[in-house]
Amino acid sequence: MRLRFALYALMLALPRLYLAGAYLQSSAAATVELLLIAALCVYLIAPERKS
Amino acid sequence: MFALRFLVAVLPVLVLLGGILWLRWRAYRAAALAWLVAVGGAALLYGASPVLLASASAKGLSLALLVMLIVWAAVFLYALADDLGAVEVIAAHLLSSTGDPILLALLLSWTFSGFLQGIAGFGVPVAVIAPLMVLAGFTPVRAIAAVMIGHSWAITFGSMGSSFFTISLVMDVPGALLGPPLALLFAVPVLFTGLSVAHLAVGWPAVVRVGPLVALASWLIVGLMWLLNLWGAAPVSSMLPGLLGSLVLLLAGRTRPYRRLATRAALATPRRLTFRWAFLPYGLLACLSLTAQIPAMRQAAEGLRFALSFPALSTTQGFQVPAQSAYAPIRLIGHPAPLLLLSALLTYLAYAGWGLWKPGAHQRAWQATVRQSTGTTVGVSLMVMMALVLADSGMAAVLAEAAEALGARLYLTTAPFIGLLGAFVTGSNTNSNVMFGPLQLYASQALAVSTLTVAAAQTLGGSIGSGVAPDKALIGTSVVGKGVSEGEVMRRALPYGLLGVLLVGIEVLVATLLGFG
Repeated sequence: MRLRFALYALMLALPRLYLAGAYLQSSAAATVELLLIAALCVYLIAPERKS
Repeated sequence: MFALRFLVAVLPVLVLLGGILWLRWRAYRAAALAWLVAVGGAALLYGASPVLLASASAKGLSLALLVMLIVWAAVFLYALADDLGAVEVIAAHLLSSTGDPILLALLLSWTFSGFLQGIAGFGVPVAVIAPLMVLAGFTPVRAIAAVMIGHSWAITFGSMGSSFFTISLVMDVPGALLGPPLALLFAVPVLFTGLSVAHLAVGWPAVVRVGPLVALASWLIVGLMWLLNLWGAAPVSSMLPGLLGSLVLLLAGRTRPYRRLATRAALATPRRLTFRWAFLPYGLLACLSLTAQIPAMRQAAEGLRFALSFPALSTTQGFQVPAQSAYAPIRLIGHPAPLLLLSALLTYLAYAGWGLWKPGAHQRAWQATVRQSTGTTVGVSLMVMMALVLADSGMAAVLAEAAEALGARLYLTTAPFIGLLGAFVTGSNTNSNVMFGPLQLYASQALAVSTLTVAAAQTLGGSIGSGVAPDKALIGTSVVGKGVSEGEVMRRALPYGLLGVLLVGIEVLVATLLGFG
């Protein structure tokens, strides 16, 4: 479940990172996108809760 | 100051290795932490702006998209063929082809596993062939170790060339230039892995007995690999040579020295498919892949591609990142994914027409593909993003400066071991190429040695390293069962891997001294 979510999140991150970094070259937009990826990374690193 | 910059540059790689090796994390978790560390280091010490970091990460994701499309389509075609019973029929056909144990070991573990690697990869050859080797009478440890080392020659051009495309993109070496010399450099790994399988399976007498046959088959395999690369057909440069090698060994089985009656139970089992029907998906794939290389076809579809362009950027410390007009282009003709999916569609039409289609096969194949590829995709995406952050922030250039201390000759011999290390830790030649490609690129420039030769050395080492990686041992032991430990298998397979990479290092050095590349 966690991996499926991460896969979708990364797929959606490509156009947004590209727009913010390469196309618009907006520092603020790029920072927001990087923070979102950082949050995803923290989510992936955190140990999975056992149900 | 240089020491601190070096430490920060090497830290993401150490985090990745440490996470997988010591913390025993899955690759995607270690890659997530490595990306965070890389971005933090690049921003704080290397003067990388958020724009540069976002742009580098977007480059990483677009490169991952190119590679993972191949992986998803290749795994889907394999899962479909497996669900339809085709893999079982092909394997049983091979098992019943000869009663000579050495020939059977070579056929299964060396050439046919190379063919399977050419299509699917990701441990599929170990999962499919190791149980057959046990069925053929080999002990589980020997069986698993033989397939691990036996299929490793086929990994770079395997999975429809995903590792090859990656090294070509990461090190900025055109595939058309890299392919033919790389194929020739595979002469040593192909011969070595064949002899290793004979040695593992039976011992030195087997090496002496089948040496000439292995040499002949190796020569033909490498020759075809080279021709296919000249033709631009890198995606099938493991699949078709693996098939040719299998045919050579099958023909050898009919000659006097190797002719023995097969006594396998597989002979008597009734099956719903004939060998020809079973082979159809892969026959179609081979035909389509070769057809796609016809110049007229390529020219007609030249404009049909997806690629992003990236502007030139620089860090506050003055490290320049050049502009890219079409980064990691995905072509409609030339990218393996459309060909794989077209093969699957034609297989469906043919099987449905002859009443051989199993209802729901495509759904089960898709579910298997999602199960197998999701974790890999997340891991590879984060690793490639990290690697591009290392490259575009100037961190890889600092690592390369340190590598300069080794000197050109020692570096060339060491380069395949760097490839092996990356593949051993991540279980993937592709990941190794992504992780260490930027380092190898800058090191080759700093040492003024051919980037093409270093790229070849990296992926040759990665190919063998991926074959003997712990994840392959895990797949083998879990499929074969019988209480075999991964440690036993690793102890058996790893010395062959290390010796193979040492030979590759010497081969690369000798080739360079002779003016090759």
